[in-house]
Amino acid sequence: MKLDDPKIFINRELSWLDFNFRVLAEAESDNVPLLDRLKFIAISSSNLDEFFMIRTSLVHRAIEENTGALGPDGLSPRETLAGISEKTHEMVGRTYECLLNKIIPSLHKEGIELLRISDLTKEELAYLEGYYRENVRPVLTPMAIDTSHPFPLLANLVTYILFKVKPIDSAARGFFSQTDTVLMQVPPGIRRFIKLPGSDQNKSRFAILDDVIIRFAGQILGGYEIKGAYPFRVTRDADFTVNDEEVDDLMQAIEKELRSRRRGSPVRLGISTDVPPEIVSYIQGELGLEERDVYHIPWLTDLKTLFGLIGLIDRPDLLDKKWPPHDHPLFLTSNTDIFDVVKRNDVILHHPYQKFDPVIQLLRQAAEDPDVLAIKITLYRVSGDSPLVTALMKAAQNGKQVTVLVELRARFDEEANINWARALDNAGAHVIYGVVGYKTHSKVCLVVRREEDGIRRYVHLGTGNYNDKTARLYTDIGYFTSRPDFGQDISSFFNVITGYSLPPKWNRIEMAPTGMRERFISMIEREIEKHSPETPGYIRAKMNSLIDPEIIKALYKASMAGVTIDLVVRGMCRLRARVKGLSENIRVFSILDRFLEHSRIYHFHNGGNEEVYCASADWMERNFDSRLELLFPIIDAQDRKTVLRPLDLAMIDNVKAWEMGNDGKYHRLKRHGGEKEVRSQEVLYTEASKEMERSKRKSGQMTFVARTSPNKK
Amino acid sequence: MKNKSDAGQGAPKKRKTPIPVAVIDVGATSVRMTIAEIKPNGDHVIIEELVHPVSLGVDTFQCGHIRPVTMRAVCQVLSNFSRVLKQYEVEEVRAVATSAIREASNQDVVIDRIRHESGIDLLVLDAVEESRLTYKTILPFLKKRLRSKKRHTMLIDLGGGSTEIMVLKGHDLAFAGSRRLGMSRIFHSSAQAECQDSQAMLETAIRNIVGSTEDLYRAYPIKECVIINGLLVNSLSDEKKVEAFEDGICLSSESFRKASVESAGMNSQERSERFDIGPADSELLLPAMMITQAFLDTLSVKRIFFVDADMMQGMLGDLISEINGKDPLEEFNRQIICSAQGLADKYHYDKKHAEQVHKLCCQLFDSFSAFLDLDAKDRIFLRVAAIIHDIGMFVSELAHHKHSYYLIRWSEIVGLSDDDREIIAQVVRYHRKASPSPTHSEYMALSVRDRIKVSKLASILRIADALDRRHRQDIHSLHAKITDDELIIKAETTGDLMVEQAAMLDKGNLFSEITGIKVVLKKYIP
Repeated sequence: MKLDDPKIFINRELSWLDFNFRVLAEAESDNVPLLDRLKFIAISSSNLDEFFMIRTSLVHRAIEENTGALGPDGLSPRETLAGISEKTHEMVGRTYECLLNKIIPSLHKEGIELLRISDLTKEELAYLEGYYRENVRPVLTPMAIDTSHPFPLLANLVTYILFKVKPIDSAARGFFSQTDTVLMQVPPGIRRFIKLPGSDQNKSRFAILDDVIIRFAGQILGGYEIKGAYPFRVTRDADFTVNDEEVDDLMQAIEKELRSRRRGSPVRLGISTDVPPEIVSYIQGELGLEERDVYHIPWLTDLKTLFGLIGLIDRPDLLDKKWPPHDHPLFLTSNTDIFDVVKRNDVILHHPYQKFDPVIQLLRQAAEDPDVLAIKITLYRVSGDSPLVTALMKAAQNGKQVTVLVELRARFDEEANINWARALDNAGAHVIYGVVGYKTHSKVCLVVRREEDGIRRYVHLGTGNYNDKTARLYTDIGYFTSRPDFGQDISSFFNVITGYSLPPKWNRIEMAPTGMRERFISMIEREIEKHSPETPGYIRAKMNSLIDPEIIKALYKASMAGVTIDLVVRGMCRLRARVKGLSENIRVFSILDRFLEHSRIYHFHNGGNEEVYCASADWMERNFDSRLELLFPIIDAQDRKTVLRPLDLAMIDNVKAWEMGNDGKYHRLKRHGGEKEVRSQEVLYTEASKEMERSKRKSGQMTFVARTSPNKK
Repeated sequence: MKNKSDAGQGAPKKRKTPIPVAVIDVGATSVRMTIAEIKPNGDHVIIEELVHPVSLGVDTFQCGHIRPVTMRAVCQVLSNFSRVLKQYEVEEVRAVATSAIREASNQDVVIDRIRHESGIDLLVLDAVEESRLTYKTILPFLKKRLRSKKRHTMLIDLGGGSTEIMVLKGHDLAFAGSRRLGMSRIFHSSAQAECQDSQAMLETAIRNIVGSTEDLYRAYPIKECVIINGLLVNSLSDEKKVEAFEDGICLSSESFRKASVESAGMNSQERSERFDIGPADSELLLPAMMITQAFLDTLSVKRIFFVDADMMQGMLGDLISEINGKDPLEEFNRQIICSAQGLADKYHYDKKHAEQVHKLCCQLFDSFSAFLDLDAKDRIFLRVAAIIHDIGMFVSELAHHKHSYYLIRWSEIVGLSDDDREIIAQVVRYHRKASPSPTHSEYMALSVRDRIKVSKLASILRIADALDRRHRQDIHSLHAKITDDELIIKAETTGDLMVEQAAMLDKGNLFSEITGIKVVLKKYIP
């Protein structure tokens, strides 16, 4: 295949859907504990919501504006949307098939019963009626649709119930009298699953809010006969771009945009399967959607709410065994002097196998340390009550020079970001609300400390956000170092992103958008140059998504030149693997397990002089061109091994790994007879545990637990 | 924040911890800052380097003053820098400005605005000081790459607003001068003219200035040429046959000429691609290459070195010297004195008398410079004046102070500007006979500050000259003390002081005139 043939690229939207199929496959897998399967249903479905709000909206807009192909694969927006629609219909079908025919019956056997109204006992119905009067009815607002009340604007991702009604002559009154259609929102603030009384450890029964609203709707629609009730849900275009070169106050602009997010154009309609065709086409027509955008839903319209259900069920036996994060061997106690440790060693933290605490500890200690002069950090997605933000405020109050670069445009987190950014500002920190034209995606923290022998800079660099909550779910690499050349680079990096200085010549790092793509391409090309039978070229990389066409072409060229390339790409991948004459030497793996694979690790053989990097960036256009990103090398040989371990394991994983075939389709990697079972995340977790135990033993911190009862394990 | 502008001559500070220092250079095209830390052993490490483009040169060279929008920009940049300084609690800051601010008609306003908004005090350098700092910066390169002690090397510091030209013999300065010729200056003054063939106009302007400069260095057998200009280093480092070092590159004159000719035939866009530089740099590259080529045409060198250096290292060097208790100007002053001695030698001076007067001047100056409010730079003026005060004798003993005056005015002394030399010439002019007077037109042409300076320095020179009236160097040493109404000079001598005391009656009068204090000469009795 020639490199100018669009067929060398896979369509990114369709590739994303394939990824979501892999998530769904976890829900379908009998080897996954039951509640985790339910969780995967919720994840894949919430993923899909986001995909429709952002990506599908983009395709819709492209069709409206009649633009050409959206990507290098050459697929027109219309073809893309048709592809999306086809795959999504299949996905929705498989999701409900799995949920209704496998998971729910299995849950039932375990005593967890999700019930329809017809399955409930009299007592339960009585209880629900009370519950309805008390909690639900006060927040319900029926909206009549008639000649003077047109079809209302419906909120994004909120379920509505359309009631077909007929006035009963004597009782009908007020402005409802003319109508035969009433809309009611399923209030998003109320629990979707209602636990019924009499539930105990062995048995829990749940009713669904939607059913309850329908069952007792007569109470609010007095004087009408309810002919039918039809739940449906609309997804809207929520991809907004604040053109920040034109707005003076970015904060205000984003607040305004947030208010309008509820009002983007509709892109998808999910509607109950049993709704009569004329009602479907009525709603569809009101929303201006086409047949392909309508998805028939046999049960609950909003599967994301299953997260809430899982929270109500206390059955650890139906969940994967807990893997609480371990201490890093150098940070065994909470009062470890972090400066003392990092002064002497570079430290690699691998989350969530290892705790995120040292990062928080760094800021807490820095806030109180009299010798600390300045703290600088980029914050992208921070958890609500982040201990990091608290520490930064404390530092500012203690008179440290605190600089915080807040990215207000982290998708769907804008609202949260604005609030704590204001709080930091009030505490006296120097808060910078992003960089004009670019999203600050790098994850970097710098602590400047005056020590006896001079200024020392402590640097933390990461592949994941400064978010203690996601650090328990996402696999990420964190790197502590006090190397002066890193310190100088990171100081300069902050000077660059705060607009204080032009980029210098870097000692160690590279940044986007000024030179990261070029750096990667030159490293790929260097692999071609140094490729020989004695020292064969070898590239490995692990990332979330592989999208950038220039990088992909460079990889194809390297493959053609004989360089072996192993890629571990969790999500979208535009590159085709194992295609004769194009990418014979490229393999693409994908790991889907309990933790979200998130670390970005890049490995170049470089003729034996190995180089290993971590980055905040994937190989995506947006990372290279419209974000501020950091690439940093891992210097110490032992540290490089640690960082490469997830790559080593991903390639031999035979439990949670997928590989792309030369047809672009993914297949699960199966264990062949006699092969040892390798589940990479489990191995990493066990290794982190062993490492901690070993060093505890060494340092004499081993604790013994006395058995208090003969039965306890 | 404390800005030190005087050369510190105090005792070395005793310290165990490193000191953070910063130097800032406000140039024609950008503002730069380097923060370093000076270790107790005198070594230094760079902590941060910042550079932000600000087009001060465009304003000054195009419209003669700095426009409000640019003033705001430079204040913003320096406020940002100031914020970084706070992060390291830097107290020793040296901030300088060069031609773009020096020549701006609203210089004072700009400097005041900057001080107000950023807390940074800008010191406007004169061209000679710029040369000195450049020389200091480039010295390590020369010591490494051009080791010959005898060869003459031409150094051209091609800046945004001015070009410093230096000729070195070995590593010592033989000649230094400055020309109002810079990439930004030339480019923007020609852009303003909107001439049809602006390139030809540029070329003519450059050739004129270089031509007028050539006379000054024609006498030296120049064998090597070093161009100090970061843009040329960046643009030329990928040329064929280029020899690259960590601190610069070397190209044959022929290769450079080819690249230069090629560049002249291109538009800005093409140049940007050909030399892999940004669009703004691509505009400045043309004048940079033209100026270089114009100088090259007056020399016969086989190769050219291009070095990326700015005054920052030189300024940092000064700060380090000061913090370590050394006079940062020591080396440079030595070169000025050497040059003055060379000049005096040319006119067959009485070397022993000149050296005696020089010695006594220094002793007097150090005793009461604070009383007269004189600084380190005045000291070097006085020293030069002492060495060359009698060169007019070569013409005629009669009114020799006047002959000295014009000889000095029309001679070159390395490391001193024309203005500096005018002051020294007048100090010499007033070392005998009439005191300065409003009827003396040259004297009145000086600024008030400089007139006072001339009077003060001349008064010291007169006293020192009187003390060696007999040209016999009888006085070994002296002790000077100022009381309420007298300057008491106690001289260590084996002989009597009758002649000297008589001379002092006449020559001490200028000192009395300007201070109201009588000069009393006594013999020192231990």
